[in-house]
Amino acid sequence: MTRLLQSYPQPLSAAAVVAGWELAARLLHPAWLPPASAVAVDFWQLIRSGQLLLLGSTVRTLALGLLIVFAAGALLSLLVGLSRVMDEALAPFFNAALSIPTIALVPVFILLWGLSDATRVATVVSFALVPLVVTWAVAARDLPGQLLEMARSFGASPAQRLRFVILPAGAPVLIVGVRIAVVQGIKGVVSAEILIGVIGIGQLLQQATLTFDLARLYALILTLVFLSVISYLLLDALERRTSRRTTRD
Amino acid sequence: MTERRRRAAVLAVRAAILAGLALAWEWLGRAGGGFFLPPLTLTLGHLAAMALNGTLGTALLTSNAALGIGLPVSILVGVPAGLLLGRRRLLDRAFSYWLDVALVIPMIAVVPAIIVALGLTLTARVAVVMLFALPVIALNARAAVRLIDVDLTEMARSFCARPLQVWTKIILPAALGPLFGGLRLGLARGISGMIVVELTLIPAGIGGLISGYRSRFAAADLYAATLTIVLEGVVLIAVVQLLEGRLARRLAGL
Repeated sequence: MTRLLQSYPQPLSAAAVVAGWELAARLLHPAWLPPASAVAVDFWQLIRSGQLLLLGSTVRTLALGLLIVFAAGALLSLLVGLSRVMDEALAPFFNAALSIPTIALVPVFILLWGLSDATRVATVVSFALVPLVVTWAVAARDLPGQLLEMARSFGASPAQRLRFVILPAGAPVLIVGVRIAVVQGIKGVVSAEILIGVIGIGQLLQQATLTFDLARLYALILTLVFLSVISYLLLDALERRTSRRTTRD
Repeated sequence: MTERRRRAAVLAVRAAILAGLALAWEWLGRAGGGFFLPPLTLTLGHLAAMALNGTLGTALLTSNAALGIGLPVSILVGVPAGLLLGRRRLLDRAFSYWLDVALVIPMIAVVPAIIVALGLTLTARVAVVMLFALPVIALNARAAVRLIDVDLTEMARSFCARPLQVWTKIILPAALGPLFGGLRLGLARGISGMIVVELTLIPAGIGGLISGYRSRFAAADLYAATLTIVLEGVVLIAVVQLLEGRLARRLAGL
């Protein structure tokens, strides 16, 4: 038993939590906790009924927001990384922006743009941009000076220097930034939809809460948990691969 | 560039950004008629009025009651839990990934489940603050205790230091930086949690004000209330950073 526990601690602790959840729900019948099995059944129905297709618009908005975040993030982090004056001048602004509870900005976005996509896109940008810039600036600050100089003296064009020197050298940090931005972006788009209340996953959550459909509520929460954990794990694996390759070369 | 000229350039850029933001806000507000974006001066006027007639004070007190209970409890529970996870390998492998998951997911989606379980109460708001703040505090405490120099603790033990002495003389001083990092992040996330629950399901405090102003299209009041909560975040975290710097200097004997 101990050996089993030592070999697979993570699946076992997950199984213990699910089993404890199921037992507690079946034995004590708390009004606020549906059994895990009921949630699993509802999760399956949610997938089969196609209601999760509502997430398509969520993902599209997220992608659009992230594109803006990456473009603006690249410009800002280059600005900060290449100019020491800008770096020092902007530091307190980024510091303050990181301390802001960004969710509080969403009602303002809703006032400005209502139910349009702009509200959700602005929320994604406000959640993801500053963390991304702070991370990418690390890569921009320590560009490999000697390698760049060598590339230049061998006649590499700026585009070639970017492609063959700057991007490979900064790849691990750049991917960490992407991971942070994606996680933040998911939080942003979900927050916006929940506060708007009538689109995407926010609409489904709202319905489940108002009709007191707890199995549905928990199934939706699980959906969001799975989606965000999976995107995190994918980007984490990508980061491991690139940082291994960079250190080996 | 000389140091003095660089310093002047930095200050000039900062002043230019602040002035540019303020002017843009004012101009956009005036040009657009002020229905969706009231001018900065009008917003500040409303902010002053709300501060003077007590609306803001009451709302801030109500909101921060949840933070004032939730954050200390998160520290009291999260730090020992994190220290334990950092020191016990098996527990760490079995349970720490739950904390990582808690940081990655959009916690706002869990709020309805909390409200269903605990009702529209202060307890529910405290629980949400803890959901937001506790994982990052525990993870930082875990990271802190892992940074400990094993050679040092071993030496202390071979010189017959008691376990308590090992903790107070070696482990805690080394762990201070990450612990404060956790406090800072936990505070930032805790403020988010405090406002999230008020914006979604329990219309109390400053979040309740924001929701109310939004549905009445009281734009200047909405911007003023939002500005208040933004400033609260910036100021509280600046205070923690200040304390951290003081404490670090004192420990370093300066």
